[in-house]
Amino acid sequence: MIPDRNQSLMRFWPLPLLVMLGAMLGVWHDNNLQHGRPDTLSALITTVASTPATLLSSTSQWVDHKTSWIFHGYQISRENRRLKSEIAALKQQNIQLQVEASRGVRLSQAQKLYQSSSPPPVAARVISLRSDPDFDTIIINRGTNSSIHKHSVVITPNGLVGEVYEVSANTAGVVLITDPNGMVSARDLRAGAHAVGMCKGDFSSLIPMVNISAESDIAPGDEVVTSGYGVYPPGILIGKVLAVHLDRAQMEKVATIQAAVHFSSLSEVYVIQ
Amino acid sequence: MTPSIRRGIILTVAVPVMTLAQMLLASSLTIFTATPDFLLLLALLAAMLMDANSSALFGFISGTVYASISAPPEAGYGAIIVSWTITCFLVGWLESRIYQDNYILAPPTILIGTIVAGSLFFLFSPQIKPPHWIHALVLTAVYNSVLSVPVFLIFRKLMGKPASHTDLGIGGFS
Repeated sequence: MIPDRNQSLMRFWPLPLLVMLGAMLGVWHDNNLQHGRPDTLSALITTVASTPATLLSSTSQWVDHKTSWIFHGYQISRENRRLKSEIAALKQQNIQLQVEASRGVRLSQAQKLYQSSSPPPVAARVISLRSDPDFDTIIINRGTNSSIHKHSVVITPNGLVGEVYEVSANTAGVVLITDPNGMVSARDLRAGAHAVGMCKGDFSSLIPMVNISAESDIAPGDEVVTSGYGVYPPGILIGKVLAVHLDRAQMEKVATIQAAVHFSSLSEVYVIQ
Repeated sequence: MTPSIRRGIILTVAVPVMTLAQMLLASSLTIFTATPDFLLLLALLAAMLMDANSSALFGFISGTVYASISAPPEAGYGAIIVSWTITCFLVGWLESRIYQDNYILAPPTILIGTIVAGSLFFLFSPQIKPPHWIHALVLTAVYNSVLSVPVFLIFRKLMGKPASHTDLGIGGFS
């Protein structure tokens, strides 16, 4: 007896159902993202995962901290701890200076404004770092409960990391400046307003800076900072110019920027509220 | 404990374990820009040991978790879920015809499965930099393929060899 083909195919009814459900979830997620609302399902999954992820990350650091003397000796370990706490304090100070600088103060004068009343940046731990090679994104363990919102700017003491694009109560998704979806308006710190352009991520710590005027005085070794157009406040270090060349049409310059931040080893970041 | 309950528990535990591995280890295990995809590896291996409908459900769940932790900055959330669901369904559908529960078939299945999942994802959500995407996909597929043999053997050991290739008692759709 020949089995009924239609009846045989009917056995697979869950597939179209799941595909439709998946597509609907995607549309719902994207719609929430566009309107700056948290997607409940995604937020729930990241929040549930963030707790053990943070715990494991902290435990691994704690074990490393506690056992380092076995390999390096007690004195070195004590000295290391002292230096680490000193570095942490300096990092915090550096972050605060960057925040002040980014709010329109010249970098050289930033230290004088250290005592200002601007809210301090929020320290956050990276709980998921580039888990998919297709997206240069990270998830941090701070969210709206820590006054973080969509478009909050994420930095490290070394420079700019990226922008918050998705936020829930206790987690936030950050798109790195190396992702093609993240664009940063930038300027050459030395040449100032005469050398401005757009840094467009290319999945690499070498970030192309395009749309620079052919007459601009941008040169290798110059520091590039955020210009202040768009979501990023001005004055945050992006990186250093490695090379400059004219584009194919010989109309504009293109610079290659070596990012100041080591994205592969991000463990702690600061969020400017 | 019945085999189906045991398998259900193993799969329920495997998803969060692989999720944490993906979140905490994947980027640090990068070799020559190749990054492993533990959740897709789990989903495809599980699909090799399940029927088509159960595989589709497992692919859907794994895809949803992965889409949430990989956090695509633009459209792509739904594309990940749909592409994983279809790929796992296909692997589960082929299972009873081809695999015969053979671990030697794990590497090619994972290699092709990863490429199919990635290609479907690209079809549903075209990426800005296709050369980078192809490069990353091929490397991930190779990485997953290499990891598949030990993971498959551990997985099969834990889950137990199925009595029948058409009914593993998981899901219960068909």
